[in-house]
Amino acid sequence: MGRRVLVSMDKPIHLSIPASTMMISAVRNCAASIAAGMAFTEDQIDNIKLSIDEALANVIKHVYGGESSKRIDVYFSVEAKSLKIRIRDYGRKVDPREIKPRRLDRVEPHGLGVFIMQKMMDRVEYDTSPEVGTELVMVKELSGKKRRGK
Amino acid sequence: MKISDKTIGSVTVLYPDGEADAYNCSVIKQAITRLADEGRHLLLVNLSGVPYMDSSAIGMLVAGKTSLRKQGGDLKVCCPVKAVSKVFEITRVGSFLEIFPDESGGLAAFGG
Repeated sequence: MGRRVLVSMDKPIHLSIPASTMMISAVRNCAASIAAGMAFTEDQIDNIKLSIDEALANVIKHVYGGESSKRIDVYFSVEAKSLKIRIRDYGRKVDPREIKPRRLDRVEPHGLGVFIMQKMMDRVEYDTSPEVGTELVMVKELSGKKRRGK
Repeated sequence: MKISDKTIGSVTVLYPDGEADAYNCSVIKQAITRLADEGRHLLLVNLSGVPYMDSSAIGMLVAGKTSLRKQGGDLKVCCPVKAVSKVFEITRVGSFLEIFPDESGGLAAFGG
């Protein structure tokens, strides 16, 4: 584990990106840099990278249907004991009750993203209260302890 | 992502190089399809040059293996780095994909 150089910040780090899979690499590497600055372990950083990757891929594919002219806002909130990542889209709303991890006993080429996020992050929640779109909130605790989500 | 390949006996070994994600994983699919069209249905994908892989890329491997099996062939995987091994383990696709720690083990598994 490295030395922590990023401490609690009043304002989140904000990225506004086109909804293109070409951007996923840049955002996950940004997430990795922030997480490294917070002294997450290498394993935790891998988990954060993959989770944000899967989340963005899901928005691009399922919310925006691959329409790269749309926008996604990503917010990284550096908190004392955790990193909160919010992914805000402005597309069709999805009923959070329909967002379920796929059963792993069936081997299929798709549908692993939700499972991966829920497995690798300590909290994953969907907020559909905005008038337009949805905000996905993922939290990774420095302690590595999961908390129950809503 | 770049991909090269080498034929060893009846098996073609694919060497993808670079991170594999939703943006570029179609390169894997295209390589598998090209090789299948050339009659090369036994593929070993060597992941030693892949430091990162997401579920889209894993899906390409799963779809590729399924497709090749239907054509009487097969696809296996070898040499995943630690981070990629972890994803295989968590998603439980490892037993389906047949993952070997080294290339020689993967080649031997084809019976060649």
